[in-house]
Amino acid sequence: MKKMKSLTLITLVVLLFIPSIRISNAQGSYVGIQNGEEYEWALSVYTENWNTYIADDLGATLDNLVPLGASNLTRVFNDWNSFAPPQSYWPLKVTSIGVEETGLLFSPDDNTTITYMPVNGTFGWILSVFDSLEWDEMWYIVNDTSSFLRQTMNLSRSFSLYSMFSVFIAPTTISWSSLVSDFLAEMTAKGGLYTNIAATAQSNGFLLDIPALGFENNSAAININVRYNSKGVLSYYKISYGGKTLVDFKPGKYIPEHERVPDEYYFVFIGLASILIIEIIIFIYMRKRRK
Amino acid sequence: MKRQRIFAFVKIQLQSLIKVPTALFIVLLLPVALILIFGFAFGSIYVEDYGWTGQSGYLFEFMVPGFIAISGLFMAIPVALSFSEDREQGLLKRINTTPTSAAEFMGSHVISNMIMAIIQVAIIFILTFLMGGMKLITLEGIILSFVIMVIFSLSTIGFGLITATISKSAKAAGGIVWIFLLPQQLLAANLYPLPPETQIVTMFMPLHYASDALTLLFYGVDLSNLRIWWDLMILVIFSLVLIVAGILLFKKYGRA
Repeated sequence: MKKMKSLTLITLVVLLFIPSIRISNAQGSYVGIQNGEEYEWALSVYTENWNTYIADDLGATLDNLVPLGASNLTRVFNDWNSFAPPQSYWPLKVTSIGVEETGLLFSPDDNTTITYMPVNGTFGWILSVFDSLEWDEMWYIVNDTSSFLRQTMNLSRSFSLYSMFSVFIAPTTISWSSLVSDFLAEMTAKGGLYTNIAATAQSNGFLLDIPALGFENNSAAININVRYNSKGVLSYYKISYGGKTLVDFKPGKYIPEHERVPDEYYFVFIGLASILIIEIIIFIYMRKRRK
Repeated sequence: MKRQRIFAFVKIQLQSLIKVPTALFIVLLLPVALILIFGFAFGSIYVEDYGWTGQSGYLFEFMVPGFIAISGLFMAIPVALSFSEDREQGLLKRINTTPTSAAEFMGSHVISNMIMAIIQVAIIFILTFLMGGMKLITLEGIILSFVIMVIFSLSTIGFGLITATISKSAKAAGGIVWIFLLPQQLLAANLYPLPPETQIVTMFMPLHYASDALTLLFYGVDLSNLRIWWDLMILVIFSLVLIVAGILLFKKYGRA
């Protein structure tokens, strides 16, 4: 009877916990992000640094060498140059991580079989002067270095921030040195002006450097810096021309105007603190005088 | 400084507050009346892009933080009255002849005011919650709101002491105190949108920092927001400045 009671109790406890047990898809070892995670970046376009870029007509040069269509760098400038940096904030929320798939992910441009994991999320931008915009987006996390190189279209996506949006998430197992050496091999195979691109691996990303006149009509050097965090999420992007930053994209949180600390607060604080110190001195002086 | 003496004074002050209907009305019933009247008047009016936050919601919800802050401000009235009355009745002179120090006497006022602030905020919160004006504030936000109001209550002691110093009688103090209260109440309570120039003027009023922090908390802004902590920090310094100024002035000119 006692055994029966214990057995019933154990069964009841187990049944009680059943609703909280969740069966989740196995996440690939190359996937660092988790469902529900949120990220946010600040986009800055430094309008005053674009004069040489525009004078050199570098937009047309890049369009020929690294065709990115509507995602090209000039579009980033056109979209945001009327505001002061950081012009916009870009929040990303991971809503679900799909099941691992294998297939022709980059077809018809590239018919290599790729193993990847789809990630669903919301993405958009916040700009203080307009209503914010949010849409559903899908990203694909590929499982190895060579697939990531293909996904970045041989790093050509790094020539424009908008193009980088489709490679927001890299595999955590990536080898940046292998990526860079594979990239350089590809550029050598392509030949011509592509051989002028120098690439350097960083511990968490890569650098691309094109010297002045490396793309023939670029009067200044082009430098691109791309970094990812330990979860494989893009953590920093910068493109410079002649040492001046054209665009950067780094973690940042949008704070609405009414939630920012007004500049006047600092003056009020200093003023009040000074008054308090004077009061304390008077207070001590009065006490000493009374004694 | 003897703790027993301070608590004895605190007890007396709280008892006197309950016994004097005017003080009780100002500290507890007026805020309740404000919440009820404005709750029923503006509780069903929906506004879009309202005030300095540019948010949408019921008008009453936007006003609640301001009402809470204003309620705390009203506590300057009983403080001014009690100090003036104590002086009129010669109590302060009699205290001087006892072992009770000025610090103990002032300390008891500070503590009793803080207790009243806690009771006042608790009553307002319950009422506001029942009227649907607390939809976004978090539990941490509620706790911080109490801290803000307790600190703000210190500044009202300062206003009370300054009023008592410059007024010759308790009756005069009851009127003079409004010089400090009315501009703050009308300008710094975040009850309605103000032009930027006026907003700068309100930064010289402690009520601004209390109502600003409460507004952010009532809109569900995360506690990691720096502005809330800046509001609190400036409020602490403002309260100290006012209370020390009040003590200095009252000591020098107000005890006769």
